[in-house]
Amino acid sequence: MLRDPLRREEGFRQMMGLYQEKLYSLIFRMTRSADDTHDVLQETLVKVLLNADRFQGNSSLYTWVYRIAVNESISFLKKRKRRMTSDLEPDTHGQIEQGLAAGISEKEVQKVLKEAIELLPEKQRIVFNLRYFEELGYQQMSEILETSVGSLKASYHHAVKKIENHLQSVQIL
Amino acid sequence: MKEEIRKELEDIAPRLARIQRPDDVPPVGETYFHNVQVEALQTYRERQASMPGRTTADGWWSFLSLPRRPAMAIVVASICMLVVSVFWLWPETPQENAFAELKTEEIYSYIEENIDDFEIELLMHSGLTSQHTLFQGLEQDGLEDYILDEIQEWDEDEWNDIL
Repeated sequence: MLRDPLRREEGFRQMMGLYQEKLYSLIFRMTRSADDTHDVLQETLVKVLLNADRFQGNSSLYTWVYRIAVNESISFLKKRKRRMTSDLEPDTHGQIEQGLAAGISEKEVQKVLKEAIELLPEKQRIVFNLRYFEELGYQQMSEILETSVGSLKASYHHAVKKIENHLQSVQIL
Repeated sequence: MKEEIRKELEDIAPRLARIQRPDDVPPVGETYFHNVQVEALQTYRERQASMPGRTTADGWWSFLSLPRRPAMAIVVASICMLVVSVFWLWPETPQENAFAELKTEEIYSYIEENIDDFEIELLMHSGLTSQHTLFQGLEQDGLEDYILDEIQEWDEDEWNDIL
């Protein structure tokens, strides 16, 4: 339906009903800002509409739309990185170091985890988010990111290890 | 969390596996996604309408309207002048004019009939540089025989000229 120009808008509304929240979460976890998420989501949806006739059906619609969302998020992050000066980058390490000791609450633990995720390099963060939060299989991630399954497994392993080491270093659990 | 992912996580990072997965995405308003849809569809329609070359008429109009832009008009005019200048000012030699209306076969036939009138250097030059040489079609052996015959017929004056 999305491929048919006459029924595209109807197909688009149906697609939104299925994926809108997942897309929002995916993009938010990459941009970490509601305003930026809104912009990237808009651009993703417009790209989906403009390129709907190119969707071949080789992968699922979900995978295809996710790929567009991930690519839009990556290109947005690159632009944002160029805009940001180094002093604006989050200095989470210091925050984590402060006040972390035995007996901290679950909420605080989760805060540390979120900060640890933000410290990951971009590619590892994307892979970690897709696997840990979105619960995607490696094959689907491979289609979205156009990367081999082996490379994705290695990236996820490294990301998880880094987070684990971080949690250990700040004496969480 | 899916069993497969949970097990994998426990193997690699037992501490992380014990932490409850954070729900870190802030909630959005009830009408948010409806508004996002409307906005996306509107942007899509606008971009589609502004895409160049949507129809043949649009394409021709944009092509014809190109020279109306000053910078484009200057570029187009410069290219036209350059092409015209090259065409009219390209040097032509008198020989080219003289042979302009003759066929290749006619030229070679003329040369063969009047070969004595041509300078030896000119013939050598023609033989070395032209694809349609006087010796075209001759085998290597035939060519050597021809040259030997020619040399044998040279008189003393011709040898003196060459040497």
